[in-house]
Amino acid sequence: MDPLVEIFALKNLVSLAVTAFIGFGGIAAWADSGLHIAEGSLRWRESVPPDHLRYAKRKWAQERAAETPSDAKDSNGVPSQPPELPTFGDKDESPQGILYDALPPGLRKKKPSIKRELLQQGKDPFENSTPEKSIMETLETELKRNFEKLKNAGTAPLYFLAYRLYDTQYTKIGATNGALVERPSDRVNRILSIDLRVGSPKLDNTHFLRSDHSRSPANWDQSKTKNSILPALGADIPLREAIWLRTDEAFKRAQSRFQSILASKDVLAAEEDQSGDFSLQPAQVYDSGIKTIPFDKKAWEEKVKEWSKIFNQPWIQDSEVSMGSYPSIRYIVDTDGSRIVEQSDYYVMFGFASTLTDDGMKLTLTDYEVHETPDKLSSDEERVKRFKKLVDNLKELRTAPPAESFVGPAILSGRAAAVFFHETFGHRIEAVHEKSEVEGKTFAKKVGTLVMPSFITVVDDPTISEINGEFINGHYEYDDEGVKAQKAVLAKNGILTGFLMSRTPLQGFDKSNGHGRGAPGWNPIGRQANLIVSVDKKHQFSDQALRAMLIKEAKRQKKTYGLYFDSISGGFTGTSSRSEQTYTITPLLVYKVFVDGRPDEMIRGAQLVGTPLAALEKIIAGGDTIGVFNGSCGRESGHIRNCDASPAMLLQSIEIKRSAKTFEKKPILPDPAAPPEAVTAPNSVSNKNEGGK
Amino acid sequence: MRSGKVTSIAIALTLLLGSTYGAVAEPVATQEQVASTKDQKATTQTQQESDVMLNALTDEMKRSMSSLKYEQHPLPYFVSYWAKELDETTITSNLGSEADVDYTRNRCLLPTVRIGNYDLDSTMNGTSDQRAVTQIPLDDDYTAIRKAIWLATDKTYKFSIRTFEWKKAYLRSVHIPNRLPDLVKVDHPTVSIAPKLDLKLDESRWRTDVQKLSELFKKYPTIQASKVTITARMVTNWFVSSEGTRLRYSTPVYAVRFFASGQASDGMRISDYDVVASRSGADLPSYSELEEKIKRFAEQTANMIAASQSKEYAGPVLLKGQAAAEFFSQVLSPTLGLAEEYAGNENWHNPLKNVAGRRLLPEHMSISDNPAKGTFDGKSLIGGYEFDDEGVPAEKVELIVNGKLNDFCQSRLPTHHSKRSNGHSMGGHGVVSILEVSTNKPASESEFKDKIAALAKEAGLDYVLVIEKINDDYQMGECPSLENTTRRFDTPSYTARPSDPTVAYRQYLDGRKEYVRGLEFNSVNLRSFRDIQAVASDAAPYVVEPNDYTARHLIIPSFLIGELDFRIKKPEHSTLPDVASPLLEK
Repeated sequence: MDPLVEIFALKNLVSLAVTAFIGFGGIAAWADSGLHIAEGSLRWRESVPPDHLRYAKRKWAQERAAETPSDAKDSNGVPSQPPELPTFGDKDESPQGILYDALPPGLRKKKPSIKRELLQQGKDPFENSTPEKSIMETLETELKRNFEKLKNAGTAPLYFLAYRLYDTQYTKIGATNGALVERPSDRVNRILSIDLRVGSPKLDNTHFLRSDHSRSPANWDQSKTKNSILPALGADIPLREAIWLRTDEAFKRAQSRFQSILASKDVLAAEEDQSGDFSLQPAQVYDSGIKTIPFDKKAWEEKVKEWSKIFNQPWIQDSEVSMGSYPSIRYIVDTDGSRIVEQSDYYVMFGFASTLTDDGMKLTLTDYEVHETPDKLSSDEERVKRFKKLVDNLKELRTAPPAESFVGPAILSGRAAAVFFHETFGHRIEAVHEKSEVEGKTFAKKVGTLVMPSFITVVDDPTISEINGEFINGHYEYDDEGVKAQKAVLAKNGILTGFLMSRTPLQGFDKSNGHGRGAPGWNPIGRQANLIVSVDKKHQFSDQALRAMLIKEAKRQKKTYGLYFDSISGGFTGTSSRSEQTYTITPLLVYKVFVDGRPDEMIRGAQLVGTPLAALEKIIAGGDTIGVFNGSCGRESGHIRNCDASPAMLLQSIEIKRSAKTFEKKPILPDPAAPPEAVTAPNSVSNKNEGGK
Repeated sequence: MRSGKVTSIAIALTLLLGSTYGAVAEPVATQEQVASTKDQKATTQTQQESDVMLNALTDEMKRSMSSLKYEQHPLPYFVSYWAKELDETTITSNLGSEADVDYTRNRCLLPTVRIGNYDLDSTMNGTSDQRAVTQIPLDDDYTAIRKAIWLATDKTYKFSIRTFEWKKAYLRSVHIPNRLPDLVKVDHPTVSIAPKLDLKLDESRWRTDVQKLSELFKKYPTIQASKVTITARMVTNWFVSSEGTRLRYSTPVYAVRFFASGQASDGMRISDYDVVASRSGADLPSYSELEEKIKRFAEQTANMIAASQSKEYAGPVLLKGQAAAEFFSQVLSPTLGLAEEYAGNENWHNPLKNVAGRRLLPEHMSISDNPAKGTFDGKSLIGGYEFDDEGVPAEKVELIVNGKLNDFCQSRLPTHHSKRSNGHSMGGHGVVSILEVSTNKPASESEFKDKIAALAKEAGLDYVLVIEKINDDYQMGECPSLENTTRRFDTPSYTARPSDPTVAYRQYLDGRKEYVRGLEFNSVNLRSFRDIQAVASDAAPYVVEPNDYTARHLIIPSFLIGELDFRIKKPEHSTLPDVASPLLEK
């Protein structure tokens, strides 16, 4: 199974269930209906292998699923020296730098800080007695106790220990056709994650074990697991008991894994990347403060029910409107001395509707919005408009002609281009995909070289929470390894300048840049947060100008039309050395733009496919407005929230293929709820068509 | 003669439920008809008509029966719907942690659409739909519920067309001697509309109690992990079939579940579970009774943690209480259900299917199964029902009479043994429900002791092995439900290996008692049941939970078996933690 990377719109998260996860490297399918990070990432552990729990019924100790090692092959390369890095002026680090100047006005806004910086020596940052204080004290007590007693207890010394505790609460209110299907449950869930390292920062137990093709297994526990003793609430002895047992387990695993790594190194050829396994850092102390955000469930219930009626159409099969609330608090303590408490809440208003075409293609459109507080979501009037627009689009889409395979010029809207960059570029500059021997290492040796047109600059900036007044989803103050969030310049004027770094070094890059991210319970790796693409002013064009350029390019290529990708649901790409280095993007709405001036024509079932390096080179020009795609991304460290932002892009050439059909037929009987005149149309068509075969 | 019995039982049960509606099916007023029905006399009838779920199910069922047809494929000859509403509150605490309260409330639908006829239809392994569970609206919204039923029915009908065509082709190409019909007709379908019950749980009391109960484990530092959970669940069922069955009934379950786990001196994992369950919160033991029970459980687990590793054992075994129940449930029970093979399924074979009349137990022992048995010694029992999941009223079945095999638990799937359902369907499959093992010759205490002494002596031992508990993790889930969609059934077999003993000791003839750990059963043969040497008079109900995910009580006395043999667990396990438990810190 090739490691696939998927970025999903929240649509997929909400509407579909996890069907398969193959170890850390192989996220294969749909994301979780639980959507919030807490359950979304961990429920699969209870369900993989699918019948795991059932068959382990009388073996409670086996309830925790074993990690499945990646089946990727080793490739033994020659170690190389770190390449010379291009240097840029101080301006890069400044919000007023050239990079930001190149972005459209008002693009970037710093999150209003609610944090209390607590770096003063000698002052107890958690001096007020609060639940968070007792949790932090408990974590620290066990951290100190276990580190002290374990540091020399094994063959290899314990040199680093960190506890991350995630307290989450999940509520989803869902309705279909005016009736509630899910009531708010306020489900509290706690997840413990243990980062325990034996050996030394140069080489430790988390090193990729080539002889087994395995990444370091995650050490985790979650309160909702049937036999877990991790208490969902509170601190002190019950929490300490759970931490103590998991630490013991993690320590034993680490010792045996470290010995295997040493032995493996002895008998296998040297690795190409000679960088270490971990970087230590000065202590970080931060407390975001904990606040309760008002969430009026009763009022949302009514709204959700009312809005779900918009999708009650005889030709719409499945639909749902939901409001999800996902408050979460993350506590981190480690033996570097860091103590971090960070609250991170989000709310998702989501709607989807699906229909079946006469030829058996299931079409689904979604509309969703994410924000940190429910009151900042769009107005009710706006919501109704958006859902009605979805119905109109779906109605048009179901009668649209199916896509045919095509190569030619295309415009990707801002949102579509954002996902295009996420797949073609973003996943390949996540450091782990350039370090591990089983990865394709597309960009490992390309630092300082041109990897995309010189008018494009790409950064990843988790420190901001808005673009053009629009909320963006990948903001945080500290990453999951307790490193302060930082802006990372990844490509400047088309030249590759850096990678998304966790505390795992990469040849030539020995420090984290605050991108060590993972879903609760997973081992963090360098991941995308807010990936922002910008185009220099000379290559920015209005929508009309881009359209004219598209038609001109299509004519030049002797095509009858070019394509316009309006909105998309997500995409995926493979980065391992065994996988074909391709990407796929699944659009929701695609239009043919004809060279002869005919009106645009919507097409259905198109998938954008290609190879990343070739595709990046085909960009001719960019738009002048930023499009924002808030979504969730699944990779080796689980599903995490992120955002991609980009202006529209004109590509000289793209390739599309037809997406697979479901082969379903329309229901035989008419919708029992539809008025007689409404039911006759689609079903008489359906029956006639089906009867004719 | 037998069908007459069905009717009378149906009436009796219907009356038992307090319904004023007749036991014989009558057309039910649907929502479309309500407006014109002016003389609604019976209260139940009014209740029924105002029951949105029942109306939506009935209306869509009628429409499907009359018009759900695709091209040359036939209309269904049978449609039934089973809708379930689950309302559940779970309160959990460990070592006195702040109680975590979890609520679940949802509804699901299981549609059955059969095409063909009673003799040959579209079902595979007794079902039409692979037990597809669909989520349906929680609100009593007729339109939204009806729409969900419509779509689920459509899918099931299309699935049935495919299986029906495949099945006909299969039967033409495979020799199946004496093939049986696919479904037994119900001539007198039951109509019973019981009041819909609400879940009642004194949440604040239980928050405190669960927290206090879980804190008791703090006094046992060798127990590394422990947890106490109370689950209160109300399941409301609606069942309608095209034969005229119409049911509504609510089933409550209250259960306090606890577990404890630790490591023996060599690191061996010792863990155990226990549960007390009933049909009402009032039936649960009082706080002080629960406290006693948990203390005893914790002590027993601590004893097992401190116990010495056993050696292999072959000899007489006293199976006491829960262990006796698990032993019957895991070894014998599967053979007392469906006594037939499914066409096209090679794995399912009941070794007892053709041996009715054969001796299985000593002559003084009998086994009956009565899903409708509501109480034992004044305490409510769980796992039983008034109607099985095919809507057939539950009947008491005398499975083994005076030691000889007499009957099987039957669903509407006919077997060569019997062509009628006795109300024991679980997923269309005959399964035991509340099993009761009895003897007409209980041994007195002194007879029991003498027997033990004699058997030990004969085996050359100065002790016998006593097993008090056999592992069962009591998940206490609801099945089918949105969370647990499919069941597995324990395959009937002549031999089975019960799960491991969790509480065992050597009872020396001089009165000493020594706990031993690390034993595993070797395979147990059905012949062992004939080797039961003595049965006590301590019959009591114990919760057992087979792999079909339905916990139920099994009533049984302790008994002594002449010989069973055990092997020892492979001594390969984690070592003890390097750091001491926080509980041991001063």
